[in-house]
Amino acid sequence: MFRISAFFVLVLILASFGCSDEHGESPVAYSYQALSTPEDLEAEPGSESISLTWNHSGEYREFIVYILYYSGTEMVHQPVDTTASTSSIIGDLVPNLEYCFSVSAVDSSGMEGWRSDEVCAVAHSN
Amino acid sequence: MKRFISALLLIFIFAAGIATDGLCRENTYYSVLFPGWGQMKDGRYGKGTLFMGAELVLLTGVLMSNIQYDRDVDQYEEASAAFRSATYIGDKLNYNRQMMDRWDDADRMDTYRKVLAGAAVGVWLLNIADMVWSEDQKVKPVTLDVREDGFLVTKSFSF
Repeated sequence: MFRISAFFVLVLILASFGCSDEHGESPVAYSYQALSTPEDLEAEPGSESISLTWNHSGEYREFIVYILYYSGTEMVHQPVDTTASTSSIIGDLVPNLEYCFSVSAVDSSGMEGWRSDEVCAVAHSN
Repeated sequence: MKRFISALLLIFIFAAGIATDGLCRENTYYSVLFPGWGQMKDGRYGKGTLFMGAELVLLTGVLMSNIQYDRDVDQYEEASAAFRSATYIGDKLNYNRQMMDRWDDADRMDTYRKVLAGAAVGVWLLNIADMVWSEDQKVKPVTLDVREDGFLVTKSFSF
């Protein structure tokens, strides 16, 4: 009887040993103060081109200009320009087609902030 | 999980030692190998089926939850790699949320597999205890009773 009791005690000890946690700590929620979003984005149609201007307050390293299009049902943001100023001219566009754009600011570490609201325009023909 | 399997192996070796050192009858050894087997050998098919079925269900549950746990961990690693390489704040937050969701899923699966494994060990212990403490209740499968006017053959079943 003693050996049976010892057996059960051993089982309980080993079972609790085997049930200890193995997969580490829970990840923490990502906390980052993103750059302010470019505002007042405007599109001015040109000859097979569209001129974009926007405002931005606070520090930044550069801006990324995106052209927006649908791939199936998914909206794709394709970068078309990188600039340190608050304006950009996107050329080589097909006339009479509507193009939509958005802009985001990038900080000194390369981290990109929220993208601006989109703005759309139709490029003229020559 | 490796420690859990190691613990089970140690228990198994210890139990096998108990079962074979003369303290218990031979069929206990079968119950140590797999719950219900010894009871079946004793002719107690109902109890044997119960132990065996419960153990099979629980071990299947452990296996399934372990597979799902590994899958969740893989998805967590993928989200973690995508999070580290993302430079856009929207992607960063999205992958971070995926990481936390997958971690919660993996944590839940880890709890399930531990509970199920603990239950499987419990069934296994109950099965051994049943074999040890029912030693004197062994039912003779066939008896022959010789009487003046003939004889009586009895086949016994136990559940």
